[in-house]
Amino acid sequence: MYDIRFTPRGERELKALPLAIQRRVQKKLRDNADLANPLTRARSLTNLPPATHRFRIGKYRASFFIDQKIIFVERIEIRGQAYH
Amino acid sequence: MIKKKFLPTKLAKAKLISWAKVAPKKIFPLSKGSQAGVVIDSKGAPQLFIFNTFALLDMLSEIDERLADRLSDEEYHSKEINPSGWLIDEIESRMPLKPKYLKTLRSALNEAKKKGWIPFEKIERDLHLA
Repeated sequence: MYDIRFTPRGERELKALPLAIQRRVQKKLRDNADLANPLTRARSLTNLPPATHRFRIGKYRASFFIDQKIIFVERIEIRGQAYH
Repeated sequence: MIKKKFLPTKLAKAKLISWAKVAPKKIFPLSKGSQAGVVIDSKGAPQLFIFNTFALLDMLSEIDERLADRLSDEEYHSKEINPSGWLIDEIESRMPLKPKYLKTLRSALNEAKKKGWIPFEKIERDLHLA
């Protein structure tokens, strides 16, 4: 099981979402954190470094990296903001 | 050879119409930068559906969004049960990232270095999600 931590920006972004979406994000993050390897549910995003991945959560994306059994969530944003 | 015969006869009197005329915005909304249209023949029957990448992602995301709360996490990530989600992942993983977006990730990391990382348990308590 993985621990989860947020950047202050990620926290602000999560707090700004509607309650139903907050609950959805919480459930998906917790479910993924219970996996032996949460990266099996993720896709690679970029290597800043750190090597950043993202979870798809409906229309939302959670960008994160993993270090020593901790999921570090960088941002929670609506889809479509990252790509061009 | 079949292709040569098909295109001129079928598309000779073809007309391009807006995607919104086929699928109402309420059901399949398109975001900024998304372009989609439908080629119809002289009888009004759709012959070709044309989407740019963003429009296709909009379409797939509408389907994926509706499944997010209905499926278990395992089902949601299964390409057999949620092929829309799988295709979104396949497409997005091949798309270049906006430099502006990368800046926001770096800035988020820098802020966390200065102010510290926030345990999710604390956020859950603050938001009454626990």
